[in-house]
Amino acid sequence: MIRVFAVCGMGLGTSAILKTRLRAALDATGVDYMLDVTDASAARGQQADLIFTSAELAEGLKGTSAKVVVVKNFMDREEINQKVKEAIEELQS
Amino acid sequence: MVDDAERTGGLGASFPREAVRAGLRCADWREAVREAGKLLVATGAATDDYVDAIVRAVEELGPYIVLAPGIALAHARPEDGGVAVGFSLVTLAEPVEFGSEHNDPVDLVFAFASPDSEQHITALAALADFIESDDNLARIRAANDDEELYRVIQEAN
Repeated sequence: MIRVFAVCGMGLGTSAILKTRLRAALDATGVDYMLDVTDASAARGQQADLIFTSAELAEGLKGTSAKVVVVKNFMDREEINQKVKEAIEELQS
Repeated sequence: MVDDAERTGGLGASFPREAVRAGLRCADWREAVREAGKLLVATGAATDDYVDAIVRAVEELGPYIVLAPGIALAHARPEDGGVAVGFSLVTLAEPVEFGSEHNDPVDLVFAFASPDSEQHITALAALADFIESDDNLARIRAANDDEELYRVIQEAN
């Protein structure tokens, strides 16, 4: 079970949009996963394998045990699909 | 007759006529965000405090709300003055800089409010699907006045 978080400043807007895109991308990989949204400060206290967030918030998430993946364009499914695929492959290798 | 909300899967219903402004001139991101926030107040979705909270959120958390090239999604927390689910849109005549590493400058500022962390999710997903379409974005940017902008959103599928 891979634990994945979509993280934004408040866990209400950007991350909620990101969650819908991540779900589609994760489903396509076939992995067993848990996906949730949270805000940047709560994310630091969570046990996670993967965190997807923006460039601006990624800096503050350094030091967590999770692999932090920066998404540039939250509307770009291609970017998100590609980054999910690479991150899952890295976790499984 | 099929009403707008049904036809658009909820997106049209989330944007009242008074919630869109086309071709505004704003000096900077703060003014643009305030204009979008004020529309939420005008439609009864948020209080004045909420508008201040949106600006504070961008100052404190950074310009991550610019989620795609040219597009900002401004909001604060429900407890900051969210009254009802409501969305607004301001299109800018001249784009402004938010300081976003990847997605500046911004000419489309969406804002939303919600009374809790759940009720806006369906409409937000509909909005995401709407702005994912380059065709929709082109039509929004081409809208010359508030009425036309309102129609573009109501007619979205």
